[in-house]
Formats: sequence, structure tokens, C-alpha cells
Amino acid sequence: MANRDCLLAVECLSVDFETRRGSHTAIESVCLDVHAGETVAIVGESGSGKSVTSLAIMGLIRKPGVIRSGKVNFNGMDLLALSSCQRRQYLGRDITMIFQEPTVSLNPSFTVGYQISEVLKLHLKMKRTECRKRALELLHEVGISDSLRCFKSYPHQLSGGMNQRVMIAMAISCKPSLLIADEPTTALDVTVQAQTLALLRQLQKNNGMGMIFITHDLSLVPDIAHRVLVMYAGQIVENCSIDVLFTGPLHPYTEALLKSLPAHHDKQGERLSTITGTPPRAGETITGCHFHGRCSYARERCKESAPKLIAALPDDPRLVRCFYPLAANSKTSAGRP
Amino acid sequence: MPVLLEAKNISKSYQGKNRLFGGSLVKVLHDVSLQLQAGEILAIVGESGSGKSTLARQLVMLEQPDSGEILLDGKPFQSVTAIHRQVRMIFQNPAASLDPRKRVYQLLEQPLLNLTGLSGSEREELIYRTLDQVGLNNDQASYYPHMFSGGQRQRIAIARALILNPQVIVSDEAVSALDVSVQAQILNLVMDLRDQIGMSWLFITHDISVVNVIAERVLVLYAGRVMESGPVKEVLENPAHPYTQRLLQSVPGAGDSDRLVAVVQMIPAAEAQAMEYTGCAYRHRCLLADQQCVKSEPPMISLAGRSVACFRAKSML
Repeated sequence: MANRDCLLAVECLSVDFETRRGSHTAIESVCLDVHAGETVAIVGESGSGKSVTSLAIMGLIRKPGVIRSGKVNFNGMDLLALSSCQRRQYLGRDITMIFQEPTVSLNPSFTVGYQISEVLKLHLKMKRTECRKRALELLHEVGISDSLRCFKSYPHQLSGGMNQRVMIAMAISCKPSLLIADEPTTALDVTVQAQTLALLRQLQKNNGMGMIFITHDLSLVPDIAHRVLVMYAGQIVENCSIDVLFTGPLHPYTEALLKSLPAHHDKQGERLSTITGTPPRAGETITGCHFHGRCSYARERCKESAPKLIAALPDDPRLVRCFYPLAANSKTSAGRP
Repeated sequence: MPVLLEAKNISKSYQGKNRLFGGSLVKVLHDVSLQLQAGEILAIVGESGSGKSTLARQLVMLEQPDSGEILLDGKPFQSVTAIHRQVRMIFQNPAASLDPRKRVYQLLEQPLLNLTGLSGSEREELIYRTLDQVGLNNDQASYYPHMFSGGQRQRIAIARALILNPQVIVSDEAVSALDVSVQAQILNLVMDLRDQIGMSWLFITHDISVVNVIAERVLVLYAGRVMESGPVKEVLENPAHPYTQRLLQSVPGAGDSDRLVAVVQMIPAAEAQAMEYTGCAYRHRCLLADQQCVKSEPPMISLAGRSVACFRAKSML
């Protein structure tokens, strides 16, 4: 894939965790590109390495985690090569992050207003009165009507949805070019979730920022993302645009995930399809394709050698890590006389 | 079908936190009534703070309601032990509700020791049979909860509820903490148990797409009041209450979510509940609310196969 005009280009990023029992691979050669104004969703089950990927991009991997290899190019600059002091200038200003549980990520002992002002003071060197004015504007921008009351509130006085709005206000305060949202709506009610997604989409349209949206819920993806990466056991198994995901997934894992969504099941009382078995545990050594043990299409070759993330068809932008991609199979077999 | 578990006009209040100034009572449930028929899955949906869990706690007699009565098989609740045998509960997070220091065998044996007089060999047989029912094997009886995955832990929690052969199981957000693929397995297990042994479930969830798959009837709660209840098919395909409609629109992929940005400044559920107000509980967030909704609380009416509490119900259909 062409790397020019790319806001963020992650190349072959691998992260290991060193434990007493040896080193465990958390993510393995993850490659992803984010363009300005684009939302890339990373989807996977718990333990698939979604959050480790985002933390590695932010440079927040701490011991026992080690970045084994890879590059994180942000606007043409390698983030991993920077010292933590240099990196801190970009984090929170050009690259910001929203976490899963807003009530936990906000500091309970300071008012919301203070916490937003802090970011402005640090990165934009604003004066106190300016900070206050801008913070109120930001709160208004994220849809809080009584922004003055919210400014003076402590996080425990606000609901989960309001706190997530405050987090979003902090994240967009310096007009970042990249926003990483790690499960931003998982802890929220469905109605609040729908509002939060709509807000993120609107802000992205207005500010033209790139966004990485991490979620375990595939059903959210069409609402927000342009492109989706499906992760399984530390690897990206499929990379495709959102239009084709629901019509013809290429990887058997993506297909299985889609089938297990209750929302895609119309008939009442009919059993949902499930994925048999469990994902490999951390540190388990797997030969061949990581998914072969749970894959209903697995053949001998899948057990022996590991597939690479490649284009499924010569003129197809979709990438898939499978020897026998699904839709491609049916296409070629249909094409045969 | 006969009515198995019935709740009539249950109300529950809690003492507010502000003790210094007397502490106001916060009313969490307002005259909630429901009927669970034998062998059906009844879903209760609502946002956080709507009183779903409080309702569950009253139904399994973890707490006493302030007013109203709960009938099992047409008889009022008598002793706590009898109820705990007949109505069992499954909690949201199995990692927190299973004692980490006990093996699965001990976890499942505890309710038998407490509530039955079975001998050791009878207990053993029952434990292995129940494990088999929820899809775990006998060797796993000697494992500790941390050795299982999230879905397997939820199976243990279900086994613990099943082992006393209860009439009703109340599950409070039993699949919310699970991955979608695992969630599908647990939902299938719930449906299997209903079909095979005729288990009646009261299934509490915030996820309306889950309701669509497993439940026969649904009850929509908002701020401790029943907004709409009836067969899933009618209620979800053709909602008569603006709140039900709002919930359905919020399901990811429903497509209408851009419109929601306009209404974000409205009062969140928990705040609406604590406030003193007259009229309909939902009017603060409702796009259709008018003077009538402010003046009086809408009564529960029967309409097109369901019950609904809204003045506008007829025009919604």
C-alpha cells in the first residue's frame, strides 16, 4: 500500500511480554495506515492484541512489555525513535487517546474544568482566563448544554456518558490530527453509545482528523469506520473497506464473528452460530495459521505453514491472512468452466 | 400457559446519601408489575439506572419491596429458603460472583449443602450431571474459577443456578461482559435449557438485539416504571412508546443515529429519576412531549397486543 499522504503508518510492529516463563508475543507484525479524515476500526476478541497495538503506537508499552520490531511513522517521523521527552510533545496534542472507562481515566480529585484547562495550559501555553473560555467552548462543542455547571463539577457528579464527553473534549482540545479511541462506548448505555458515536463522527468531519477506533463489537463498525482491521491472536487477519465487509468477508474468522452477532439474526428462537474452541492462550506456540484449530474450513496446509497477509485477488485492495479466502474461492470456482 | 412468577405493583425506595440533612428517599421502582409464564424467556430491557437490577433483587428476595406482592405459582413468598430454592439468580460478572478460593465442585456443592439434605453420593451425581448439562466436563470440577475463560465461568454460574432444579432463573446482564462469539454460545445454552427442561428465565439486559433473538416477551423499564410490555415481535417491530423506539434507533447500524446528536443535551436517566417532577417520567427526553405529559402520568393501556404507558401510543403505531 502506498505510504505517501499517510498520517500514520505502522510497519511490522511486534510487541512481546517478558515473563518468568519466557517471552510471549502479544502482537506480531502489525501493519496499518491511517489517512487524514479516515477512521480505521480494529476489531477482535479480548486478548487479540487490539489495545496493545494502540498502546504501542502511543509509546505507552511498559515493562514487561517490549517492542521487538517495527516502525511507527507519524507525519513522516518515527515515533519509536524519539525519546520519551520528545514524544510527550506530540502525545496529547497531535495524537490523543480516549479510553474505555471514562470515570476511571479522569482524576476524581480535580474538577472537570481544571483537567481540561491543564491540557490547554501545557500544550498551547494558554493563560488562565483563556483556558477557561476555551474549555467552556469545548464542553459546548461536545454537546454539553450546561457547560458552566459541568466545568465546575467533579467526575463523580457526572454520568458515564457526560464523563466520556469530557474525555472527548480533552482529546480534541488541541485539534489533534490523530485520535485513538480504545473501546470508547463499551461501558455506556446503548442510547448514550449511539450519541457518542454520532459525536465522534461529527467532530471528525469538522476537524478532518484521522481516527483509530478499537472495539470488540463488530456491529458498531459500519456506523463509524471507513476501513476495518480484524485481529486474531495478535495478528491482523483481514484488512478491508467497510462496504465489502458485510457482503463478503474473506477470512473465516471474520465470517464467524459476523454470524455470531445477535443483530444479524432475524429468526427468533433460532440458535446463533458460534465459534468452537477458545482462542490460543498467551504464550502458547502455534504452528501454521493461528485460527486453524477453530476454523471449519481448515485443511492440512493450514496446520503446517503460516499464511501471510496478502491481497486476496490481484486487483483487490483487500488484504487477508488465509490460504483459502472465502469470497475469493467462490469467485474463482464460479469463474471456472 | 400458566403464570409462574408474578409481581404486582412493586415499589422500592432507598435512603438517599445525604444523611446530614435528613436524606431524601429515592424511589427506584414505581408500581412495577410483571408476569412470567412457565417455560418462557421474559426479557427486561432498560438503561443503567432504570431499576432493572433492583427489580431482580426483589424477585429473588435479596431485598423486601416497600409495597406490592410477589407470587410464585399463585402463592405469596413464604420463607427465604423456599424462595432461594425455586428462584435462582445469575450475576453479571462471573469472575466476581464465583469465590476464587473454591473449586468448581465446592461452588456447586454449596447450595446443595445449604438448601437440601442430599447425601454425599447424591450430591456428586447431581454435580456431574449439571456440569454436563452446561457443557463442561467432569475433570473440570476440580479446577478453580480463574482457570476458566469468561464464557466457561458464566457456564459455571449457570450450573450453580440450575443445580437446585429451580422453577425460575433470573439473570442480570449475564452476557454483557462477554465477547460476541462467547455471548452467542451462552445465549444458545439459555435457549437449549428452556427447550429441553422447560426452564423459565427472566433475562435482564440492556442490549435489545439480544432480546430479539432469545425472548418471547419483553418489558421495557425507564426510571423504575414499565414503559411498554408485550410480545417481542409486536413491541420491537412496531414500538408504541417513544422510549422503545429510541432504544431501537440506538442499536448500532439502525442508521438513524445522526438525528440523536440533536437530543444529546437532555437529562440522563439517573438524574431524571432523582428529580421531583410530575407527569410522565420520560418527558424530559421525549421529542413528542407536550402539556398533557407534564400534567399527569400516563396510565398503562392495552393496545395492539401489548401494554404501554404513553398518551401518544395510538399515534405512534
